[in-house]
Amino acid sequence: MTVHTRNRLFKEVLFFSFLVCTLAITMLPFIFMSAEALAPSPLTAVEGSRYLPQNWSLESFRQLMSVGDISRFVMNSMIHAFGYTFLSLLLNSLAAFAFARMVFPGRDRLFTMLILAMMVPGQVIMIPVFIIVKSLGLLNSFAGLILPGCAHAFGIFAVRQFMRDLPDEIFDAARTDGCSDIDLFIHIALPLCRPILASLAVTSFIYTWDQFLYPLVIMQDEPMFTLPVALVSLTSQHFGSWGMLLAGGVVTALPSLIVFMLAQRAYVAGITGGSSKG
Amino acid sequence: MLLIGHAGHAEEVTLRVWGMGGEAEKLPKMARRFEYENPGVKVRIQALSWGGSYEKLVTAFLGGTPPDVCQMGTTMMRDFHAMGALESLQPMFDSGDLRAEDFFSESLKTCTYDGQYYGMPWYVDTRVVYFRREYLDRFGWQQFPQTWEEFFKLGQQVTAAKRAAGDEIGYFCSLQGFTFEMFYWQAGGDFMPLQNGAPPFDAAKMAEAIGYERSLRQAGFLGKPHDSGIDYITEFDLGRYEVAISGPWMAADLKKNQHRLKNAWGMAPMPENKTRTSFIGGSNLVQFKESRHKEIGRKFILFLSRPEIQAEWYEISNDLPANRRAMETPQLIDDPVMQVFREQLADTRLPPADREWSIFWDRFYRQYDAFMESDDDVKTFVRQMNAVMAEVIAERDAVGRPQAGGLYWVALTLFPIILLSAYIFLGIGRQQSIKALTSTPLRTVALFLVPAMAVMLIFRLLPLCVAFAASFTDLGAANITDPTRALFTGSANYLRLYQDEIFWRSVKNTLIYLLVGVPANLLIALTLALAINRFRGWKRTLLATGLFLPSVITMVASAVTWRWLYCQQSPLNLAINWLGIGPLNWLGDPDLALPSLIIFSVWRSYGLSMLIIMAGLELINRELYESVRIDGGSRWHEFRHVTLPGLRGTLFAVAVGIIVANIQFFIEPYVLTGGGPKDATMSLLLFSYNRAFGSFQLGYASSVITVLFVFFFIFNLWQRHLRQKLS
Repeated sequence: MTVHTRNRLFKEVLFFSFLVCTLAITMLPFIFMSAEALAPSPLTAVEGSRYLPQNWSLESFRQLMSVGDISRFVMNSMIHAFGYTFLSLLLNSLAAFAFARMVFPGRDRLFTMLILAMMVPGQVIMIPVFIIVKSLGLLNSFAGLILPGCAHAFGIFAVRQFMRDLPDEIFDAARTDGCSDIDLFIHIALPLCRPILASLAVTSFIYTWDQFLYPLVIMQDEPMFTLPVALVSLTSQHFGSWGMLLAGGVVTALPSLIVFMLAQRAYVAGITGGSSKG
Repeated sequence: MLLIGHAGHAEEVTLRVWGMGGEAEKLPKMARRFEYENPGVKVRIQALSWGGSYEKLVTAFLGGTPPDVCQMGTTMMRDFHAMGALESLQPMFDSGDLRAEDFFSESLKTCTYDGQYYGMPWYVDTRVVYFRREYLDRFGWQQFPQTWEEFFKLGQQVTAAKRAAGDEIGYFCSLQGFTFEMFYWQAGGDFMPLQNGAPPFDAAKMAEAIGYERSLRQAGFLGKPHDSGIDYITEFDLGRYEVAISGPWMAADLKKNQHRLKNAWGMAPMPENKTRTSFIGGSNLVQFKESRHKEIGRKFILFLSRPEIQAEWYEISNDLPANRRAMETPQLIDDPVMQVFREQLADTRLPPADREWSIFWDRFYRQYDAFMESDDDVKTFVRQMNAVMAEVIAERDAVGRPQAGGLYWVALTLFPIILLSAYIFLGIGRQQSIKALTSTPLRTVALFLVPAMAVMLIFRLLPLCVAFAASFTDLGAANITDPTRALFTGSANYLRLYQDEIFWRSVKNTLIYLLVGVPANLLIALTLALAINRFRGWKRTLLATGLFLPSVITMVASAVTWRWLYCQQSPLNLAINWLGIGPLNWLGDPDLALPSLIIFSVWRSYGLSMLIIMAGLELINRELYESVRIDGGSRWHEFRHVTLPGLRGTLFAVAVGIIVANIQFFIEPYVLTGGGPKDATMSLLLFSYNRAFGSFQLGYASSVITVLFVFFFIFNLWQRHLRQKLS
């Protein structure tokens, strides 16, 4: 019995150390990135290489602040992420409500088409989207940045599944009490959908923060750059100043990391929810 | 000044100037001087990267927000003039502020369209020879070889000496920054205007040029490909090779950074055959038609053209002055480096810039490397190339292509939309009622549905239709401002796609990426999910969160990190070195670049798959495990007969998800390699993006999009079919 327990314990430790090693290897790029960003002097070709710097300083961050208006880029990214998240929650849950709790002609085929639309990746249609945004005069504006992607089949689909599974009795009762569809949506559906909306909000935020190609094309004037676009632009301008660029990487990565840490559960539910059902 | 004092008080004007990376970095110094001379003017400089400048300028022009003054590479001028983007600078020449004879005529040609000047040459660029003196002295050369024969002779002497000394990696000559046109010119060749039926180049001279380069290679002058991972100027400094063909930056770098050589290096013009022609390039300064502060912008251009400013600019930036008078200034007249450049610039030519030539060179270089390795007949090769060029010209001249016209666009754009609407309307009355309460009034439905549907229609469906319509036209730089002038080209774009080797390369890369990346991702994710599933509580949270982090970290931040990890001096190479493999040229080696991107991408994405698989594991009925255990089944049994069948749906969904994500493989190559080296990492989306924003062939790029869409559509039907079969 003791042999068996010891054996089990041994296995447990073995597995755990294997996983911790994997974890360490996975995290290494971040560790190197943060360490190099906090190094006092930039690494040059003459010095050779090092694993970790010996001293620490915020010099790279200071340098980063001096080459570009970083706070401006952070602000732009914030407006982008929050604006997108808000609008996509609003539009998608409205549409989802129609699909889940209303009966109207053509509903099912329209919904099928939405699901098909889900399969076309956004980047594929970027050129014509650019032409359309341009002809609407929305280049270089937050409207042009946020509007085109904010209604998406994935969001409608997720919220619709959730709304459809809500008990009919609540809605029936409210309707007999004389509630309009709008009342039903605001006072009953939305509060009950809080979990899925939270998931959608967190995934939207992190997704938007991550966006690169689309903002690159739409935001052309440097003061309108989002953080990732600014970072790539800095990389090509100051190629080789790795300390500063990695500091930029840290600044870019931090916000979505914080949001993820704070709302981990909602986020994980959001990304695993759809797929584990299928 | 006139403009500034206009309202009676000095109002500050901000002049927006865009420059390319290195120039933009050094330009502020000149800008401060200009501001000092022109109170009330503030110059704001924005830097563009060379790689991304074309797309940036196109979008700025289309968006109506171009800069007031802009640096433009000589090769871009033609396209931007064709778009009607550039403002004529003719008045500056007419008024005598600028004099045409001050500039190199070949360089001024890049600004000239229909007899008008649309730009001012800012600096020029050419290639000369850099050599280490060591071997020259040893073999008694008083000066660097003047002719092709002498050059070849020196090459033989050096190569023999290096071999005798047992030097295995050393070689004679590095053709950095070399363009093949130069050998052709030196052989006495010339590029003819492109006409149907007339050969665009002289076959005999072309054969001589190609034959000469092949003889250099076969004599072992050019060394074997190797990946030391250090840049070629440092290698020169280290004595790995003796002669380089390179541009002005190399002189600057050698003077500033390389200490081993001190004065043991020299420069010379190109060796002569019939001529000693080198090529001329560089940058112009232009204004856009929609630039806001044209008057002050012109002043700034004029300021940068002054000989003393140009001379100073050379000292700051090492860009060769485009104004020839600058070379006569006291600062530069005795500069030894400048003397060599001045001598070379007297014999320089402009490579032909027609789009057809770039299509031709594309195809040319694809076969060139293979030919160089072979012993095939040069004349046959030249004949083949002549035929290729004839094809390219024929494509250009294909007649009978009607203009698309407004009706075409409306019809072809609306066609799919009408088709889909018909599909929906035909379905009306057939829907089964599920959980039906009552039929909702249409007005209420519209209220809920219209916002989202409108956005999706305008920004998702309509773009697809536009892309579809555009793929049958030659929509591009010349007609973007008025798409009705685009020509209807039928299937020409698709045909070209079929023949485009870069396209097939990108298809191949995407497939390799899927075939290696997806299984690797699934395998790692499944292993880790099963391992983590043994744990509960904090250990589980820690491991799951930690392993998932790469998926959450902003892509661009990770890409920058990996860009750094993959460079010569990084901890990664240090570790690899420690393992005894030696530093690897991760992104520079064509064989290694794609695997490097796959490693990065798998690292980034397996956490997500792992989480989804873990969620799937939770759904498996616990009792099934119990029953296997009661039957005395092994762990393997458990996995084979309970876990795997239970995960089937999840694994399938994960695989579909990764495939969809990976077909859109874009940011990795965009940030890390730009699709190179030698297209080794070109992906479908990057290919389309480059065609669209890198050279503005929207019609052609759209055909890629349509192909991708059809592919996605079929893939989607297939995976739905499979999914139904699974469940």
